[in-house]
Amino acid sequence: MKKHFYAFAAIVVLFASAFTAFQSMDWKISDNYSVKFDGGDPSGEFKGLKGTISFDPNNLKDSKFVVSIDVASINTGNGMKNTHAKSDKWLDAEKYPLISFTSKEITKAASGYQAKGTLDMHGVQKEITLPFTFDGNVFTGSISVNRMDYNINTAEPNHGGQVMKVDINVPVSK
Amino acid sequence: MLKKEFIHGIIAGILASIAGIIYTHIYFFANEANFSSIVNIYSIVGLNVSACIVIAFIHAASVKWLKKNAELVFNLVLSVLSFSLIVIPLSITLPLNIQFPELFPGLVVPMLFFPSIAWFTLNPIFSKKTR
Repeated sequence: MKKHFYAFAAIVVLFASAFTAFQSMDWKISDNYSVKFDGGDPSGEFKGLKGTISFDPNNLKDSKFVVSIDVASINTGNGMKNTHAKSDKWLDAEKYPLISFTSKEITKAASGYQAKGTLDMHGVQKEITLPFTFDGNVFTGSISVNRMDYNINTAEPNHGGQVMKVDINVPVSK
Repeated sequence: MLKKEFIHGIIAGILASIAGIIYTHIYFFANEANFSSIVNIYSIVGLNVSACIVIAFIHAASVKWLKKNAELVFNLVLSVLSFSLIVIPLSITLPLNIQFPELFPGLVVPMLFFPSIAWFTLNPIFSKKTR
């Protein structure tokens, strides 16, 4: 009897774990992602994207993004601009090493989806809406961010672009 | 006259190219930074030879028009020109797939002086022939 019980329990656990894996909403961020920004001058990209992506088109209620990028990973293609961008005059990578986004609500939109949440940058938290699509295991989204809203070099409003268009392309896998 | 300048320019270009290639290899090895898609044997040889040919023309023009103070003015122009070119690697924007653009000026700035150094190195040989 005891022998049958353990065999039965093992089968139940096996099925349950397989079902859990099938139902998992979590995605791993692939290495070939890109987070590019374009404000005319400067433009470039960030690396160091990390976080958890829980997404199921059929279960948006429980879907959630908690992601961050490493400020020090900024690359404008010019060493001098990179150094300036990381300095305390601009992004202050030492004091604010991460730019993070935490979604509160993900809903269906006219084309694709939209994630409402908090963008934390340069010590300022602001509510934003990130429209995105999810096709072929690739998240694609685009937002505009005004650096003045995040107190980034407000002393020089005309130095470089104020509004940065940020294009996000994140391939994921289970 | 122009033939002598031309040969001087070509040989100086080759000399500067050799120095550039050696320096590039040392720099890549020391810093583990790879800019070979921009700074490679072809771009080094092409730019150094072109630069030395331009230097040859400037020298020929200086000798022709300035006569007495030709060497002094030419040396001054060449030094100022080499120095002012520093602005190019500092301001250039590299493709985003190239990592560590901070290290790019360290590679290129010294190489900007190679054509003039090569020219000045060979100058005693070529100027001696005309005297």
